[in-house]
Parts: sequence; structure tokens; C-alpha cells
Amino acid sequence: MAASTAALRGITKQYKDFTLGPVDMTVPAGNIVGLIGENGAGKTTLLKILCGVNRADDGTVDLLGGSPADAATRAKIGVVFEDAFFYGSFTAAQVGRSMTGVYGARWNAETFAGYLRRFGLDAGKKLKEYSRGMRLKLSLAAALAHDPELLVLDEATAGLDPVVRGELLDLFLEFIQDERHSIIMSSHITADLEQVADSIAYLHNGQLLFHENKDELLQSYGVLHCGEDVLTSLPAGLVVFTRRGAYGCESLVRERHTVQELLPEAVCDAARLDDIMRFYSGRDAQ
Amino acid sequence: MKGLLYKEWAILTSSYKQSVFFIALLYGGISILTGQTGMAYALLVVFSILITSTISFDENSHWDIYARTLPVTPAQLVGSKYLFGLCGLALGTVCTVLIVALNNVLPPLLFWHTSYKVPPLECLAALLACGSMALLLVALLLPLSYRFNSVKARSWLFLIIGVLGGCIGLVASVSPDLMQLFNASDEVLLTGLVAAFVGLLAVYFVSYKVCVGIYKRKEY
Repeated sequence: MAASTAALRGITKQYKDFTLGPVDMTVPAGNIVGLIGENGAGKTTLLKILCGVNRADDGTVDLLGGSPADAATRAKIGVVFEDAFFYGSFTAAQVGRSMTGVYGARWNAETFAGYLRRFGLDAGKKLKEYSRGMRLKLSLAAALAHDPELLVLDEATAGLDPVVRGELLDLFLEFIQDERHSIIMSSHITADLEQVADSIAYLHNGQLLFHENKDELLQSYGVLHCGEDVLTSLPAGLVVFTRRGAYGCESLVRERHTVQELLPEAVCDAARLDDIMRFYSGRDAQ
Repeated sequence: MKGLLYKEWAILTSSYKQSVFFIALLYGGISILTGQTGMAYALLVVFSILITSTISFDENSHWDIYARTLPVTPAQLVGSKYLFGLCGLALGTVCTVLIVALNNVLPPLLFWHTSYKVPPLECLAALLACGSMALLLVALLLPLSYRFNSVKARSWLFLIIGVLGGCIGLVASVSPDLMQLFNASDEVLLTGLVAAFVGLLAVYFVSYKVCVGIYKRKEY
């Protein structure tokens, strides 16, 4: 069994009208974990607990053998939030100088400068003059320049065009080539996660519905199009949820190949992550 | 800590460089041209409390969420602000002393200029009084800003000043003898001001500790 970069056990966080957890989840070393969920599912809350921004009400976080409350442990993680960084009047050069003082010997100014060149970022330009994609690239450069062991990305590709997203995904795959490195990334762009993630964790209404190998997940789930009468012939437990329409039913099923063997005449397509989320949401909304 | 101090310096210089230079020029110019050095002492307070405005910049950029993921402690994050407050006090003191010294050496420049040379002890007393006020303002504003936010902190500060001023006025009206304290000798007044300044340095340190506690418990 691969060692874990991070392990969350029994994590619970209570807010006035929302409860996260209890959540048990691990980030295996050398892996990319994709964290998906609807808006308000608790993804950012969970990542903030993992990084030490907030404390859980219950449970433990093992982060790189230490605790997120420990500054020395946090020196080994790189974090990119969608909207939390330096003030807009800063330039990339000033960000670099500030981070040199924060990280000390861990910070590699040449690596940072190299990322700026690679991303085509003007070190003398103010952050408020950067486009959204440029600001995220700068955040990523700052997150990578101290050789972190874990990258935590919260909607790091949100609002970016496909070209920039592609560049960043390539960078993530490059980062993960080193077995010491891991990534946990939350994203609504499930196509990105289908491309790079090793496993998918699905948070739904504060609960972790599953955390499974991505390829096995996409192999297992399917979307079955058939009539109501055909559906009843399936064994219990295979159908997650069915949407009934005027012309038939659309169901999310597990063990797609088993369903295809049982119903060779029916159309059963491979489910995407989007489909899985929509059907699970529909089930709980009923 | 070095990185945090640099970050505060960078925010202040990039956002306030021109306005601070203009204020220094304006206050200093008025002081020297009119011989009324009160504006110079106000500069000391302005320089000291400038650090409190960086909190609104931090709020706008959600800096604290990001900062919590960095290898810095709450004590360092908060401490950098308090340290800068003291640096502002020191810088303001130097500027004020320079302006007062210029006022003392220059001949009257305008017809309404009062050719009053500020004695060193009077300058020291005014510096201690203004420095004490600056320390108190920062000691109140920083924890209030972290506890609530920078906008609400200012409202709370006005309320506190109003209540304190009202209390002082009430005491003065019911106990006129207390006002006789201000007729004490220069030595006694100066000793009192030194004691107040030292006392407020202690308050400043207590404020820092309270602020660290607030910051540790804060959630984002």
C-alpha cells in the first residue's frame, strides 16, 4: 500500500446551517486526487482544514507526517486558492521577495523566476493588471517554487480558457512525476479531473459519498436509457437513480458491463463525472 | 518574519508613497510657514496609525486565508503589524523633530508667522503626548480590526473615543480640582508624560497578545 501524503480521519466541521463530515479520506503519495461536489458541498471547507486555515471540530489531520497547525509542516505544502493571494498592488517580483523571507532556505528564487518566464509573466507588472489566468499562474509559481510535497488546489483552473487549462494540467502531470509529490485539487471542470486525476472523491452535502480510482469509477458507472418495464428487471443495487421522462427512463447504474450483459438491447453509455454528480444530486433532491 | 515585514513595507510604499509624501510636505510646510508646529506633531500620529489601514488591503485580497497556509505563525503575522506601528512611530518622531528644528532655525517666512522657538522640553513633552496617543490608537484599532473588520473597527473606535471623552468631561465638570493637575510644574508634567508613554507601551504589548489570541481563534 502506498504511503499517504495526507490522511483525514473523522473530520467534522459544524456551521449554523451546514455540517461537514465525518470525512475519512487519504491522499496517497504520488497521486492526484480530484475533489468534486456541488457548490456548497464542503470542498473548500475540507481543503481549508487540510491546509491549516481552519480547525476541524472533530477528527484528525495527518499532513506529511505532521499537523497543519505546525508551521514547519506547512512549509512543505503549496496552496492555490481561487481568490486569496497578495494584494493587487504587488508585482510578481515583490511576491518573490516576500516569499523568500517567508520560506527562507526552502525558497528557490531561480525556480520562481523560471516559472515566471515559462508562464510569460512580467515580474514588474502589478497583479491587478494581470488577467485571471496570469494571476493563477503566478499563484502556482509561488506554490511550486519551494518544492512542496503536496499541492493543494482549490478551483485553480476555474474561469480559464482551454489553452491555459491545458498548460496547467501538463504542469500538474509534470509535478507528479516525482513520486514524493502529490496533488489534491477541487474543480467543477470534471473534464480536467478525468484527464489527470488518479482518484476521485465526491463530496455531497458535506458527506464523502465515495473516493475511488478514477478509471475504475468511469469503467463502472453507466447511463442506461430504457423503458420503465425494462428497468424493473435489473437486480436491486445496480440502479443509483432514475430520471423519468415522457419517452423513457435515464438511469445511473453501477457495474455497467453487468447491466449491458443483462440488457443487451438497451443503450448503456459510459458515465462521465458530470453524469455521476447530476444523478446523485437528483437522488437526494427527490 | 522578514517576508511579512517586507510585505507590509511593499503595501505601504506602493499604496501610500505619494499620499504620505504629500501629507508630510503639507503638514511640514504649514508648520514651518506659520510657525504653528502642532501640525508637525499630528504627522507623528499619522505615520504610526498608517499600518492599521493595511488590514483593509488584506481583507480585500483575502490575504489571511492564504497566509494561514504559509510557514508563519499567528504571532508573526500579527507581530509584523505591531512592529511596523512602532517603526511608523519612530519615523514620525524623526520627521516631527526635523520640522520643529527647521521651524526653530528658519527666520519668519510670512508676515503672520509667529517667531516662537519651541524649547526642547516642550518638544519632548508634545512628542510623548502624541506618541502616547498614537500607541493607544494602534493598540485599539488592530485588535478591533481583527475581531470585527477594518470598517467596523473604525466605528468602534469612534464610539470608544466618544465614551472616553464623555467620561473625562463628566469627571472634569464634577471635580474641577482635578484640572489643577495641569497647573503642576514642568518636571511633574514631564514625568507624568513619560510614565504615560511607558504605560502605553505596555498597553501596546498587551494589545499585541490579545490580537494574537483573536487571530488564532478566527475562522475563514
